Amino acid sequence: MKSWKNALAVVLAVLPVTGIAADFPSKPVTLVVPYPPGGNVDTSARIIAPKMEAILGQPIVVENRAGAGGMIAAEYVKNSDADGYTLFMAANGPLLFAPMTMNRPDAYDWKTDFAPVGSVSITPMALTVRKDVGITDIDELLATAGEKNLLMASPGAGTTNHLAAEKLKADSGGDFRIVHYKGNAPAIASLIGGETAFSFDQMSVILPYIKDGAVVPLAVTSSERVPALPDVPTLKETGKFDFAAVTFTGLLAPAGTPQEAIDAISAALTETLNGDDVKKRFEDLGSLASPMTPAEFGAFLTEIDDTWRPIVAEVNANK
Amino acid sequence: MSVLHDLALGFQIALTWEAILICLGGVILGTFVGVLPGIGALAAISLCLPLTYYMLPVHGLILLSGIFYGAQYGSSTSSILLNIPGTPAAAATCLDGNPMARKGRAGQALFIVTLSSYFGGMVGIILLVAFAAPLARFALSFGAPEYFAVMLLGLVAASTASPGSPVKGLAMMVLGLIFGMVGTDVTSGAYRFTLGYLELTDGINLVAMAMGLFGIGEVLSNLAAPPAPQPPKKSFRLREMLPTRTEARQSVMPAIRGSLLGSWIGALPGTGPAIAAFIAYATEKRISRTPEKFGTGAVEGIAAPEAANNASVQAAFIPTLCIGIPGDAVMAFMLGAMIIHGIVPGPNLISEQPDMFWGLVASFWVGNLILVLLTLPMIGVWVKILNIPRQVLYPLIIFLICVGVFSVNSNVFDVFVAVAFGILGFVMTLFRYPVAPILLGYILGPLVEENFRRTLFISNGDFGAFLSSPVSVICLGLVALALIVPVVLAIRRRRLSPAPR
Repeated sequence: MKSWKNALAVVLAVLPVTGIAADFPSKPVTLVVPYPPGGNVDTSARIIAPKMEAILGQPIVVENRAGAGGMIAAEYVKNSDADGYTLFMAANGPLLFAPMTMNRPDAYDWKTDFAPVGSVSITPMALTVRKDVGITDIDELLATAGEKNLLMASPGAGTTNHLAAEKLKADSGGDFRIVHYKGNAPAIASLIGGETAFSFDQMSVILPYIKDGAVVPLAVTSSERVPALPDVPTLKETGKFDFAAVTFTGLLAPAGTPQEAIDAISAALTETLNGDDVKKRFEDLGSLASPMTPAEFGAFLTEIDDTWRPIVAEVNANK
Repeated sequence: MSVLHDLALGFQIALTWEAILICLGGVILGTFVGVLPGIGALAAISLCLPLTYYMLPVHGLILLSGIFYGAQYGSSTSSILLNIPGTPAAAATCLDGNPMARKGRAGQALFIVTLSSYFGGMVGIILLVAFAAPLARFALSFGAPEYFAVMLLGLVAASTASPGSPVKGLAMMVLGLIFGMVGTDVTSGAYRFTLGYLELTDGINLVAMAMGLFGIGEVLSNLAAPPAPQPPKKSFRLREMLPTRTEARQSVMPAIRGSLLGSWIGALPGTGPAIAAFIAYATEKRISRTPEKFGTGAVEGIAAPEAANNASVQAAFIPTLCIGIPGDAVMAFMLGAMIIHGIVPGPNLISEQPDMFWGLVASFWVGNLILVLLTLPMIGVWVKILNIPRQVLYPLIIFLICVGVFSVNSNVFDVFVAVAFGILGFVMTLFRYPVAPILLGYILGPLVEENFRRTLFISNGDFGAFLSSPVSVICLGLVALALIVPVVLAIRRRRLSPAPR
């Protein structure tokens, strides 16, 4: 159906587009967020928007098109004009796995339908246990979770948090049950309130409770230690696991967007993310402002995709 | 006395000219988006966020929260005047507010809801000031069995809340429960009744449904009916719109009960003002000595839900500010706004940022006062809406509803959903089926089901888990009473006076 549009986009991309480079952007740029206002992805978009606006000299509009695990936003951007004025503020699920988990494998493929512009932020997760459970290391947790009926709180089936737990289970041979909630807030409430015992949570969400002493961190899921928690080992350091699980946010344009436009946005994004003020905001959020070139971002996405696709497929088959 | 000291600190921040002006701007904007059907606080708040970049963080939050609670004041205005709730939270206010307006007592109804709203807001703020930490802990102690019991009680209590035939009311509630099942199952991630539409995988949009059923449905019904006699045009002076002494007296206790119920429900994450308002309405009808008056313009039926939804929006700040857990979508966005302003929400917010917390709380008080001072003189203006010819008013309403519904997700699909529910609402009204129970079943049903299944999952299938805490035992006991007592009474009545064969 949209093939003529794609064809047109390809033609446009191949044509010499001398005009665009000189005056891009000449009108407002829209960042399409696949979630409702609030939350990590939306907040990240709203952190970078004012700074990019100042650099590019055009308004940056944050537009929320929530729904269907992010597919509605992804399809909207995919079908937008490939001129660099409509960008996808993507994250793991909406970009990489939604077509599979939502049973629409043909809806889009990030490798062919989108052009990476740059990553915005990377948020590691932490594996934490409520303090009064009395567990202080990951081996003890995995060894006793099954018999003590310790439950893990998940913010939803198919989230990165859930996938990390499934991977942990598969790699350790551990046995624990996962309770799903509708989003981070009720999942945290269940953890703090005592209904569940442990969870994987984005650093942004869990850090205040770690500092508060309500939960004990056992490991972080990034490949390197997190500055905010220098004493907490990574999953790899615990010796049993060889995977990292992070939530990223990043910008992508529809495939066929002129390189000049991508370069202009990428440059503005990099400058924004290197600003001290923006860095501080992401730190407050428990994330890391992570500028990457379009090529680096593409490689980063491929790596995440390769690691998690088999697990997503397995979880999806069992639902 | 440290609370008073903290409050004094808060008022030092909230009573600067700048803060008062910002608060005024926020509540005026909130009132407007509240009055306009369909356009909710969240859309307005996310549009205003960029404005706050140039303000002090606490001023920015004062503005955004002002929009949020201001919308609650405004939303009852269109409920009463047009039988169309400005936001889903004011749907309960239609039930008795609009009948009052039809009797020519729109001014009095607006007067009562404004004062009840103010009262509810104040109760919410006082609880926020005095008992924030214990309330937050209490809310956290609520697990799946407690949520299940409370929501089930709400569902049962409200099942007979609508006027007219109880059987029709129950049928509509069941229809609401069915609509509530559409979407992704929380426990397994499987899709239910999505009919292949991606847009339905997150369920039917609440705003689209409420605006369709109440708004578009109401417009269609009015167009189908012969023009109602216009209320006599008269001067709308404040004095003529004062409620009678009886009306004032009748609304005091419902406002108190509504405020307490609303504060309690508002402090529970995952609930919201719509649930608070409906449960308060149902409670009033249940305990009233004249339940038959409800639905025909009972002042109790507007005072209680309006006090409840305003108390609930103030109390919703308790889990958000005290433990960093947002109770609903608007609160989640407020947390995001705080982060953008460099304030890290979480359990230590009050001790780390006392000026922010107390300044914001003090501004709630200022804002509520402004809202009353602003709304009372405006009543005369609002009531004139009734004099707008319907060929002008109705297209305008439909237009606003479409814009409002679209603004939620920027998705045209939701507008079609609203139109479909509008037609359903019209047909139901034609056959005298009440539409409010559909909304109620839709809101409460998924909460009941989700927590029922979660309880059993956690307990490994042991039904005893439902009776594991005093709260759930009490609530389930009340549910049993509510279901058994009418049956027993009916049997006894039949025995006493055997029906002639």
